[in-house]
Amino acid sequence: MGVGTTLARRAVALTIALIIVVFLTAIIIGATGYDKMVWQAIITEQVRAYKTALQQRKIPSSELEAKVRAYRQQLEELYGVNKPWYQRVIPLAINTLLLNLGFSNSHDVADVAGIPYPVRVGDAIMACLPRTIVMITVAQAICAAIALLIGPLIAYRHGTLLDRSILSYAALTNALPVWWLGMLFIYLFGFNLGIFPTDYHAVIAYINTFAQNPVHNLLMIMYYAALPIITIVIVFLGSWFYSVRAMVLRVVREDFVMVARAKGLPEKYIVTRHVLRAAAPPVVTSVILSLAGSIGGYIITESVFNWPGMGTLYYAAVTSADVPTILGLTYMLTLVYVIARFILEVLYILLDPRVRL
Amino acid sequence: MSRENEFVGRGAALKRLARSTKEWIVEIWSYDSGKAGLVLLVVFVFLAFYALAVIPPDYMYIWNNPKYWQDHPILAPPQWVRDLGYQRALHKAVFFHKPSSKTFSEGFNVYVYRMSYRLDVNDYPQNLVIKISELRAAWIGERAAPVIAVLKVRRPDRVVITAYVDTITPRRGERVMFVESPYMVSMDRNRVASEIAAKVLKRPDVSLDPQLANEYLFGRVKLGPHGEVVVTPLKGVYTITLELRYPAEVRVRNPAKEVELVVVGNCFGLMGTDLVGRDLAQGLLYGFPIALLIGFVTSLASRLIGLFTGVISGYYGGVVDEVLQRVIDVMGNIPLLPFLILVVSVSPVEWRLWIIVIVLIVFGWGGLAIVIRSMTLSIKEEPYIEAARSVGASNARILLRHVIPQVIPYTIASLVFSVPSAILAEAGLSVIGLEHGWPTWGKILAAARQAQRYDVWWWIIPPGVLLALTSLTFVLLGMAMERIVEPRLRRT
Repeated sequence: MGVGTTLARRAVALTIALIIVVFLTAIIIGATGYDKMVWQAIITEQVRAYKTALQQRKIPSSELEAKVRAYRQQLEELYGVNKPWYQRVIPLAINTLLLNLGFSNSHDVADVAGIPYPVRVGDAIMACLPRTIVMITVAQAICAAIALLIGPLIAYRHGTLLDRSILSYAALTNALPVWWLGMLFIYLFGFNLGIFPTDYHAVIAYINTFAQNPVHNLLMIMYYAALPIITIVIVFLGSWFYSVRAMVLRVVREDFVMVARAKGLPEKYIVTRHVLRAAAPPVVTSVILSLAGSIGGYIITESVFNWPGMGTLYYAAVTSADVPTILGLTYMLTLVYVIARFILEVLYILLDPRVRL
Repeated sequence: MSRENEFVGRGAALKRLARSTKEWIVEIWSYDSGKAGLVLLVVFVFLAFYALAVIPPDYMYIWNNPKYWQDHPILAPPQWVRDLGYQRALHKAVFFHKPSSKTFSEGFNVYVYRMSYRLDVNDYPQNLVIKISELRAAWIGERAAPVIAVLKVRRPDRVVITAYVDTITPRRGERVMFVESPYMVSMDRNRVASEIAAKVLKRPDVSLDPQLANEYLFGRVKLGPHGEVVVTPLKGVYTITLELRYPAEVRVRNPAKEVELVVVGNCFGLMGTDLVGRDLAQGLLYGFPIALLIGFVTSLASRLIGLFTGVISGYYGGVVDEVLQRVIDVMGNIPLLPFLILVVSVSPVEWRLWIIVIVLIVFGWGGLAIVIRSMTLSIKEEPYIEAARSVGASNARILLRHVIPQVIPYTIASLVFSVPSAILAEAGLSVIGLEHGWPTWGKILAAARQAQRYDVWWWIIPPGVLLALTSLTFVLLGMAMERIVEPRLRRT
């Protein structure tokens, strides 16, 4: 099989995975009647308001009942509640796949995005994406940079005190829920010491008006993003160290490294040409996949910090059963992830000549 | 093979299993991380079983019912903070099964329950609560008469304050009242405020804030130079009496099965209380069995699926392999947490805990299956497999006898590593507000977050520490096991 065929096969598989994910999401929302349930509640609320308004105008009860019934029917028609579920969600899923994301029908989603209702799903996603990037993607990039600089060194000092203390740190932080540490830090550094903000929602203003006063706004964004980033880095650095160390360690013990050493090659040359080259594919994989995954935001951590990013947007969409936004977000996130996976396939071929066969 | 032989064979297999388990434990114990992990695991399992033994069957209902916690202080730190020098009034509850004394006055048979309370710090108790179960009704012939309950507090300065008065009338034909749920009331704050103004301040015209009645009741009350009310705690011994007055014609031997007088303090128990007054020590204890159960069930089930699909995929190859690999591929592309949140949101509240478990099982086996498959691929090529096949061993026998035993150690290490994932997922979902009803550590944290009380350290820290310790236990054990199953990571 040539390189082209391998890549084409992967591309097809990833595209199918993408389509399945979107349809699965749509079917779960539709088949369980979740969207219908939420719409029914909204309709009931609106009908009650309509009824009170009519009662205040003292309309005779026989006429009132008919009017209320007509109004309810009209609303059900409008929201599509009277249609079977697949007629409601399947067209939405197809439109989403065609990048025709449409309008969100939730006020919560508009609130998170910071855009007046009604809001386009695409606009909402584009409003939240930079917020998640300045917090979570930056945090993951910092983790990756530190781990890549220090991880190989630890692997070389295998068994020393430094190695063992970093292992303990990894074990400890791996066990720590990042959102819980966030809660503690908000109390400690926000409420108690007053160094960092306690509510992070205000970051919207600085990101939205970034171009007007870039320097000041950048500083403000850094002020808001600092504590979440510190929290995430503290928790995730441990497992980054651990995995980079394990990947390098695996290579250091290989025969060809021994041979290189036996040949008397300088240690620096062995590290750059033999060890890092061989350890690169898994390391690059975890860097790229974690950066791609971070685009989706950390729903729980964002929620704890009240950070209006992608995770918060998704949660708002789920709780208000806003199908277009849920589908749009799922699609975009999976798409980014799938593209990252495909880039990796290409990189593997570049990094590891054996795969080309 | 005779029956007997088979039995012996099985016995030997069991012995072998016991021996290898013992070897594992000895080896894990030889690592520091393994030692710490094993000790923690034993403690956790012990606490989980202890909790199962003492948990009331309707605990989920009790935990979610604020009425049940009325006689507990609100947002009280643990009692041991007193030993650190914090000024927190002690919580004291006294149970009576018969009256302390009986007198006759003003045409009433009076049954008296008496307790004393020493206020030894500069603080005020939060409340006074009476709880009566199975109170005898007063019947004069066919006519029901009310029982009068009077709660009095005699302060160290000898002033007697009536904190509560109620007339309890039975329903038609009722001989014993409050059988199903007890009669439970707090002190009458308006009454206390006005009595304090009259008897302590000697200024009935001054109106005191009923919200602060507990401070007036347990404090020195003075008027400042500008007419403001100044309260300081009044240390000393308080006598609290509950009088149950029956008409003179009615004589009962024992008016109630159980009477509880509670001075609701400002600290409580081992772990303190939350905003509703729930005893956090109980909630945290009962969190152990739930956490370990969902962790183990999820991990065990997903590892078993991963083990078998991996072995089958690697051993049989062909179409089966292709299909399984593509399924794993699709699953690997699903953003798991968003998907989990979606599925949990659409399901009914009472199923949610199990939905979390099921979703994590269904989507959790892919990674293991990939590793097991590649292990199987190399095992399959070993000469002894070919030898076994050549003497006519069936595929099932080869898999069970030769392949699976070799991948089991890795599976067990991965099992241990994956136990915390379900526990943490449940906690995370609770924290963002997905209600599932069960009293878990995550739910305790969720309540604190909902109340926006990050400052209540005894509410925030212990559940998080327990979550972290649980996962730490399994991470430590897993790290020790990883070194056993992956010899390259062994200490040199």
